[in-house]
Amino acid sequence: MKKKTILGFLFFIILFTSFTYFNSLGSSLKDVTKVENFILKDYNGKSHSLSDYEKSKAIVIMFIATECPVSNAYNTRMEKLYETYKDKEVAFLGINSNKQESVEDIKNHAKEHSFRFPILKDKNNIIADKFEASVTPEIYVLNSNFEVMYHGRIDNSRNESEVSSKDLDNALNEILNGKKVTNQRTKAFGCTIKRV
Amino acid sequence: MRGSFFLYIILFLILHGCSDHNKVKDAKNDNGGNETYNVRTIDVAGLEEIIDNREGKILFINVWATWCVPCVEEFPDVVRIANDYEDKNFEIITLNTDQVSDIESKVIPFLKKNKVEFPVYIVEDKNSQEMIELLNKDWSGAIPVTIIYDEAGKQQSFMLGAHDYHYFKKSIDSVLTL
Repeated sequence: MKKKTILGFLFFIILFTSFTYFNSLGSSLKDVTKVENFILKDYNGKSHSLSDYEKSKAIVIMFIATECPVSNAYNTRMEKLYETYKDKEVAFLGINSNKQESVEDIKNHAKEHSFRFPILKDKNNIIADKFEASVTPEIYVLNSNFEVMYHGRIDNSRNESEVSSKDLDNALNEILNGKKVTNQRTKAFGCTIKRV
Repeated sequence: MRGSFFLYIILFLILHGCSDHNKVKDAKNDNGGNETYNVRTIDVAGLEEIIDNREGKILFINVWATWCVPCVEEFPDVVRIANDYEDKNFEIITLNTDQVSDIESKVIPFLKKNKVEFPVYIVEDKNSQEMIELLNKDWSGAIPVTIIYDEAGKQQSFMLGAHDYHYFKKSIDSVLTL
């Protein structure tokens, strides 16, 4: 009886500890490895399907924002990346999933920063949920099977003069050279995507 | 055996519900209430040292930035937590993710406005990935985030997004009573 009581007590302690920890980790995120096709409209009302870009050598999906200072620190670099890779069969799609940023806001922001890549409005953050994207800017590079080849940051500094690791650039170069991406997952602090 | 079962249930409820009766210990910090704000940079080794050096206290870490609207909104509740737990087995630090060039112009005025007396460290971009990995391998880096380590330096709570005073209090109390 005494042994059973001790075992029961130990079981309780383990249960209590697990409950406290996992309860707090309920919202942690895991990386997705593949996404399904989706259709979203850009700020001009034109529909874009992911399958429209399946013949590209790589599809760069960029979760971005109009009001996030971290995302905005990369406006010029995003446009430069588009310019560098547009003729190398790399497609670029911006996605805005923030509930408080309207189609009109996105259109004005794109115009202000002379973005030439499409920016799609993800109403009700459905696509952000499918990617499990949580931050802006957050980049996913897909192959023609919509498998994630690279996920993470554009580079390692908001201040362009301090960049020492051009992570997205490196990943795209490796993909275009038929190599496996060396650094497939990177991270940086950013703004939380504001969900409904 | 049935009696033992009910004993465990009662013990569980007590541990979760009655959490204000903690040992009183001094939890003064570096800034000690003066008007000089010293925002220092910190890397992974520095943070690991703080996490490991518990001296019987739990550690509450809030990750924030002045550019992050939900961080700014929850910050007064973080300050209130710091004040209310000052005399408990409790240590608080915050990790700021503004740019170092914004310390004087943005971070310190914000700290003054909020009458902050706890240590504030700034994480440089070059260290951000390692810092994110240290704090939680499943975390993308979206802020705000608040983390609680127990007095053995083991992470017990990882709270993604903004939370209020009562949520923080409940989480702290559950770790203090472990």
